[in-house]
Amino acid sequence: MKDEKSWYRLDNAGKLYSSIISSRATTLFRVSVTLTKPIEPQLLQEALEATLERFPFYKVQLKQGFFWYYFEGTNQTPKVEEEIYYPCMSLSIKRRGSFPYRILYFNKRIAVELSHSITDGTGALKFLHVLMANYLHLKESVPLKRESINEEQLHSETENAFRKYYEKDIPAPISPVGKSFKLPIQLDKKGHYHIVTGIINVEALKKKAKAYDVSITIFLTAVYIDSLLKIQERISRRKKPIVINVPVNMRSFFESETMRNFFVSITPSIDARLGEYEFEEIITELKIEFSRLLTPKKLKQYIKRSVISENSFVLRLMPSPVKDIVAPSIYSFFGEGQYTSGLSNLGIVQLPSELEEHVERIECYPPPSIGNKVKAMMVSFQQNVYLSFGNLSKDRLLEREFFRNLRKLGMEVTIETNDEGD
Amino acid sequence: MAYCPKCGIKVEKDNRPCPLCNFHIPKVNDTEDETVRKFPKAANPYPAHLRRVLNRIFVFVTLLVFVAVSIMFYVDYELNGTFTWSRYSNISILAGWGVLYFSFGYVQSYYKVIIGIGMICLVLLFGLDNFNGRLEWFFPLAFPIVVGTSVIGVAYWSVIRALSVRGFNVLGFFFIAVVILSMWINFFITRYQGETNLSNWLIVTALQLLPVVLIMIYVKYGMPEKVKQKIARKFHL
Repeated sequence: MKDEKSWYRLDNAGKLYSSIISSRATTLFRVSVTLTKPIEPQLLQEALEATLERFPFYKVQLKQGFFWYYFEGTNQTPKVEEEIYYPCMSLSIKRRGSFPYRILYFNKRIAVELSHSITDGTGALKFLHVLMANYLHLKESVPLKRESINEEQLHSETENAFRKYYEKDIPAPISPVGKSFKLPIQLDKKGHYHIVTGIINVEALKKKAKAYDVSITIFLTAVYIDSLLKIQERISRRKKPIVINVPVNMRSFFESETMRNFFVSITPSIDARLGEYEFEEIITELKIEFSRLLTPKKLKQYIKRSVISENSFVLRLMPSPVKDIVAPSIYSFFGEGQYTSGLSNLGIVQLPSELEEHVERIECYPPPSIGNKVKAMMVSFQQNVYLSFGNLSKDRLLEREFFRNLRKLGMEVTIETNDEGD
Repeated sequence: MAYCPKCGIKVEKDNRPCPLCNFHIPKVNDTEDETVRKFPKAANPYPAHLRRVLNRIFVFVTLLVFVAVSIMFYVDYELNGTFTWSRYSNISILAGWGVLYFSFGYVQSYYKVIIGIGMICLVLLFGLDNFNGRLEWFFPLAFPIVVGTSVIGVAYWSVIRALSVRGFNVLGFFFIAVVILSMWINFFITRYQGETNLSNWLIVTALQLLPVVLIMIYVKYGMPEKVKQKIARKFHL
């Protein structure tokens, strides 16, 4: 960025995330790629610099304005670092000179950890893709289409797509405010984050999902809910609904090139107070719920909801330090407080064959959150689905139940964790 | 590839606990394969960060204390030609600084912290009583109360450390410690006031212990396990 004074407004979701950042809830999530050979830091640094030429609006730092946070262009360049901390931890993006993301390498893996205030999973994957292409171009001389970015593209990639598709007259969806089941697990020390990744064959999963005539997302959400129901059955006398937060990538419904956040959360739920649920019943309910909600008309209501909240005058005029104080409790009450957990599917990653031969796998980890101490995020690459749980507690209650459940349904699962040998 | 017999999941490395259920997965691979670590042995910068912040605060406060003490001595000396009132304020400030030193975690052992703060109190009270020329209330009141408080504090901490189950017991023993301390303090105050019947109040205070002990016994033996767990969940610190 030549112009030092350039700055960008945060999008709706970004505004919220920037205000709730704490040493535990870092809002950082990770997308990573494991290559076939060890990473060379020097080349990675060069690749990063080339990538930032392509995405100049990522050469920014988070600054606190009087009313809202914003991203300010900078002449500094982020440095790639060797991974030494727990994933998604120990980066305070509000500190002077810090970027809202970091690029890490460890053995054969390149990991990009981005704050949710700058982008969502889709934006992160696109960034990782370009970074990886640049790196492999330098390392393995993989041919590279060098894209230069023009003014129009710059505009379309930094647009606030929520605003673009916001329609004033559409009513916001009515969502029942109620209590949901919470896992009774305790936070681990600050700075600790426990990842459990399950690797599942995508064909086997597809076959199983097809047997129930649903998509993989619905199938796995059903397994997730079923596991939570079983846990609730075991440990709690009074039943509460299981509510899962499933982010929906809006780019598949509304045309947008944006590299900022553009997602809404739908919240499929199963009310355990109505009685015992068979797995097939959960599938049926979810199938109806997903097809009912995932239409452009209904989703516009969700856009409306995320825009009206920041449109309110009281909120806009509130100085940003006050917002910082109020936001975490509002978020944990109206946001995460209403969900039991979250399951996010980044979809299938397809790479051109010249890149793919150098890539072993692609993974993603969810951002740590205090309201939902366990969350899961998944991505499919080649023949596998990589489903990672991120957990602020040491207790692997949900992970255990979920993967055992998958085993009972006949899936082969390979498990990896970041706590190896500790 | 090894399997956890309980979860049925595959894991890369055998001869270690299952990552999900901690069941020890038996050794199945003959070859000792040297797999590369997938994650670093993670460092946690938060404790060091917290220490740095505390150090900065402590150094700042120390400088402030030094400046304040110097100014007060100087002003007092300028006005009166000798140290008068500044002795009272400065010994208090220095005592406060000493307490801050102990409460900032520079001394790890709680025994040392309790004894240290007790000593500071003794010095402070001795000074305050002594500055007007003679000792009035230090020996009959301050000394036994401070020593008693320290001894009860040390005893309380020893009991807590020896407990196998903490939780509610910490609270229960705290009440017991407070009641014993009240009896102790009350004894010396009434004696100082020249009261004759010393045991009267002691019995009344001791009776306060009865409900506390009864509740503790009920929690230990009478309360259902489910309620106990619920309380533990709701009130965990």
